[in-house]
Amino acid sequence: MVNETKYDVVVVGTGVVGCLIAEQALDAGLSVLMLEAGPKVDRQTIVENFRNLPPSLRHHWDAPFPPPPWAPVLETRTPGEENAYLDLTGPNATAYQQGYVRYAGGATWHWAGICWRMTPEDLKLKSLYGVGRDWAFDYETLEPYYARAEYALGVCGPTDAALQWPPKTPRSRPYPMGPLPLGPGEQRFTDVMAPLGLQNLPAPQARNSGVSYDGRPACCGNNNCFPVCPIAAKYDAATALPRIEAKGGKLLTNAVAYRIEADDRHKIQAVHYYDPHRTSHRVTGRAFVIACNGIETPKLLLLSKDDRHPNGIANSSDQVGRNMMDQPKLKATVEMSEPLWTGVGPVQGSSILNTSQGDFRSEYAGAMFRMENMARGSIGAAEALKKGLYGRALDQEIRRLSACTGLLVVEHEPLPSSINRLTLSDKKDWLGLNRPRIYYDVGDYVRRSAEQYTIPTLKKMAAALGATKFDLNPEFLHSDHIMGGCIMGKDPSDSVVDVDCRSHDHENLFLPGGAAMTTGGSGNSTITMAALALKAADAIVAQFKTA
Amino acid sequence: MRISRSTSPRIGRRELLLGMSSLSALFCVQATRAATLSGGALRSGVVHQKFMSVSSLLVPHKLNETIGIRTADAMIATVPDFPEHLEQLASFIEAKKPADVEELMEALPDVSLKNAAQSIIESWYTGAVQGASTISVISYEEALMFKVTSDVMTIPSYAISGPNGWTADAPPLSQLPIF
Amino acid sequence: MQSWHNSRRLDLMIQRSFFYTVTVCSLAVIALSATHPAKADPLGNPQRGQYLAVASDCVACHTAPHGQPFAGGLAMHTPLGVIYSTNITPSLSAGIGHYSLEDFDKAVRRGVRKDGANLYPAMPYTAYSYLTDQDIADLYAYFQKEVAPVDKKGPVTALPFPMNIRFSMSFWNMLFLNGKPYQADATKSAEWNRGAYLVQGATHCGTCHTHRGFLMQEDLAHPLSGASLGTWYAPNITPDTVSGIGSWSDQDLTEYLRTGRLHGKAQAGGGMGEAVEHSFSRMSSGDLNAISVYLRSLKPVSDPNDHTSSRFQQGHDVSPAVELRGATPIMDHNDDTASGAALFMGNCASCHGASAQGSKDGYYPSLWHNSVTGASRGDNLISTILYGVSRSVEGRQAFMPGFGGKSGDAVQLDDSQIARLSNFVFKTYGRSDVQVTPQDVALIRKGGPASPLLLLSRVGMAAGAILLLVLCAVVFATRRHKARNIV
Repeated sequence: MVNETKYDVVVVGTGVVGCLIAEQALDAGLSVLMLEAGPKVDRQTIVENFRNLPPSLRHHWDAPFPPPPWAPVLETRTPGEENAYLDLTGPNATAYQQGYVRYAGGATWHWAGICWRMTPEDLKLKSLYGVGRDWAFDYETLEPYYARAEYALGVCGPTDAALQWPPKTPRSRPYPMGPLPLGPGEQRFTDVMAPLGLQNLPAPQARNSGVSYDGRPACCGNNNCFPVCPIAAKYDAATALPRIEAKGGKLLTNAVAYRIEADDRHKIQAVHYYDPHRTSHRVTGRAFVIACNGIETPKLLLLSKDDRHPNGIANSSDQVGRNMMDQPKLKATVEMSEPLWTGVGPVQGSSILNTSQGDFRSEYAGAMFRMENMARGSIGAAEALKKGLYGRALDQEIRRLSACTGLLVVEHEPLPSSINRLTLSDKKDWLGLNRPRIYYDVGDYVRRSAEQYTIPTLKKMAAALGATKFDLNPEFLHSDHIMGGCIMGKDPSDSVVDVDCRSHDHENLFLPGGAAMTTGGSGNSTITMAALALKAADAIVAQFKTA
Repeated sequence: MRISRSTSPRIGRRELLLGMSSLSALFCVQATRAATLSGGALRSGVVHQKFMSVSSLLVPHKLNETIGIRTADAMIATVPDFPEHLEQLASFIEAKKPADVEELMEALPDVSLKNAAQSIIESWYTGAVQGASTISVISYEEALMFKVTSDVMTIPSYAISGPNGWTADAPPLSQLPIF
Repeated sequence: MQSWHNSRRLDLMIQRSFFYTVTVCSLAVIALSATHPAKADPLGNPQRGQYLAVASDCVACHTAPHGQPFAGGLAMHTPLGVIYSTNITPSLSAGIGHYSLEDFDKAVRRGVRKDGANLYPAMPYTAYSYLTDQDIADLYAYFQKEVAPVDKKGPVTALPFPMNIRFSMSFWNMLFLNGKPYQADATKSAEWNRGAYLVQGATHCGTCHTHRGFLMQEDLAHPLSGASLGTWYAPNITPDTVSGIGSWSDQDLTEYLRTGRLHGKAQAGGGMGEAVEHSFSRMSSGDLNAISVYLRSLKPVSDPNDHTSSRFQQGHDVSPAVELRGATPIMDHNDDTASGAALFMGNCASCHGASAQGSKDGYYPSLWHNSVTGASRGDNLISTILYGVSRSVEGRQAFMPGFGGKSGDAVQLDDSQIARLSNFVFKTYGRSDVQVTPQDVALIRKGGPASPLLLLSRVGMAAGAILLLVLCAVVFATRRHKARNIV
């Protein structure tokens, strides 16, 4: 059926990046086909999946999204699922067991909605600090796209300029909505951190604050942003899909793209996909957008190698799959004599960012600190029950542990490194496609930061909170901010895409999103991905106009 | 945990079974509502009554009867020796008439009975029954673990208030809500 | 969102208004009516006029989405075509700057433009005909002196033949247009008279809440006893304790009008939400009290189908979760047969609570003890699910998203899902004898049932246009007799 139609724009992936580009293209009058590897599942099903989970799995953000066999993921719940896809190596392999969702709507289903912009300095690591790379453009180029992305997603944030990030950097537009209130835990955390010089800022969040936005309701503090916002007060790309379809966009689910086809002149002609019956289909188009984020996008490019492109599509630089980044995360549980009461409001509502900037970045990584704002009732109950308590003592202990414990988190800024590399594994997935094999080492830049800077800071923070227990998990974990596999740059010999996320090798192939990010900074990557998506969308529409 | 797969696309039966068995080895949610007892309705009625009666001493909260019945059914189906332990607990309570759970737990003579009592308590608080090799989910919204903090926080996924209606104020730690 | 709701309400009103018009065209029933000139203080008081413009809700229709106040241009979709509201700012080129008081009076109370053409009854001049001369002068003063002129003409209404013959409106006017301003009843208190004046005139409650007869005239024997608007149902607001709002206190009623909600009883959705937002919430407490006094003095109208308890007392808190948890597998696809209980848990409970008890602060209402679920028909529950609620009072928004009434809604429920969900909600939390079918939902999604009268008038449109003058002559002589026979 679709084989017959040639679409203006074929978008692979229905996450935030794919949906933003699809909608921009539709608004410009272009025809759009979207391919999604996984199923389209209604919010009500996912919400009820969450509530029907065994208690231990309710803290596993992928658990309400069981992967169908043809769309497996890296972060798994069971050995069975692990054996189906996982192939991670290197000294910090588990720090790349990224959580993402191969459902229509993508990983924004279970993102926290946090929208920290990168700073002007974050884009100039090489020239300012002599590490990493410089971006191909400066902050002023990106700023208007940040603003547009904030309006496209519906971001709430502080109106007070002193509380906005990046500091002392002009914004072209205010946040579309004012800030959300802080609950007792985050307020106390903010107050206690301030004397240490650690400024806990109210986070800009793609969550409706006080009023509806785009027909979606205001946040009512369900404290369930991950794994799923039950009421769509948080932006997720699934909320855009009905609008995209209403505008004439065509959505194909359970369609696993496995080959990008280029012609003799390196122009992309088609994408091939498998349906769940393992039948292959081919769709043609004029422009192609691979919006599958930092793991599935490079994997698809590598899978698409042919005689003329022996290293894979878009890979004349041999940079596809290299520079895999994420913010390596450390977690510490603290217990205090005084109550904190996290869990009132969204699961994340504030972070310390001033720790991410400074001249020390020539030596070690900057970092973002945060206290998670998850309701800890079920965690407290599990601990109290383990102690064999009952009766009133049990109730009191659950209450105490819920109130007087907290989770401190630090996420380190990564550097792009060619050794952190995604290649094709010899192992095959359910469809017979090579799995992604990822080598990952957080690197000395991050390790030095942890030793000299962030772990000592975590301890200081715990002490200031009056912690009676400080339990640091020394293992680096994943932050689910997949970046770098199709790195952006001006020089086609050492980068994959240009300033508009267009492949250096193929004029009608766009690889926007996390994979294109040149560096990662310390904050969450989504709003930068969204800004890059809008920039790419402008370039795509402009390309059609001049054609 | 049962995973329901879409049936329209043809998944290899072998793969599906493999996936299912590895899942169910860890988590198997029983559809306890459908579970019928071998002893028939009369016997199950008696067991349910005993379970509720024992539970009302073990747990100082208001207990939902439907959840009690489903919990008892799940325990009968998945917890070894549960009917015997329940019987013994009921008899002990009948004989000694302890005033509350504290007195009962102090007085219980053997560890296996204490463990049985503790697992009943745990199921009410977590909303799940831990069987020999399975976990049965019985409740979420009614799980008692959420009641003790209900004055401060919401049960995740449920509204705490209207938009932006929450504040940084919290009641004293010592002030347990009234159940 | 807001503008869409506005136009939606207007659509309903206009759709009803059109029934009058087309009926007159097709059936050519004619009546005579006296006219009278305006006799008022020509200076008027703009402050009082502004208040009256609020009470009359002029801004709702005469402002386009994101447009300037009173500059018109709002598109109102009717079964017969799009009507655009006009610019009523004092612009000389685009608005009513060149209107004299008499011109203004003729437009507002008689439905006739300065150039002599009839207005379509989208403009509720039938209700405004009750306004006093002084109020007209005040309104005129407000529009001429206080409203900023906008020199921009909106789109021109161009309805298909024969609806483009505006003159046809005058027949209906002769039959149904009230001839004189409100006449005070000396036997009643000043407060009662003020309430009667507002209810019959400016706030035009009967436009929605009074059932219509075959000729779509208001059923004046049973005023305000409830009427269908196609999608929403404007309920019985007579003081009957079971079928109406007789169980409400004066304070209940004024609180509802002021805020759009009454805890544990009712909340304003659809057109009533807009009326509260634009009009009632901005009126003086004295006027709200007067409205309450008048409404509570009306003849109670009882619906024989109602039980012994009111629509505010149905249902109780019970959670379907105690049965559902763990009994449903974790799914990687949608369950097309999901029960109403499961649909409730997945779509409604996150805000309204697992037992539909509402939020502690009352922002999200309980679904039991709620006029929507306690109603004897499904219209308002279906409409609420499809179109949601959006109402802003004193800077605070009351909002519920629509679940598929618009193609871009983030969550899309289909007719069958909404029917199952509605039946569960009625059975568990409301009036358990109410049944909703997917066809009921489809009908409301379409905008409500097509009236047989509309069909008749459409069929009669062509013939009626040709035969209009002939029929007029014939019917004029035997109009009463003829009308009865046709009915």
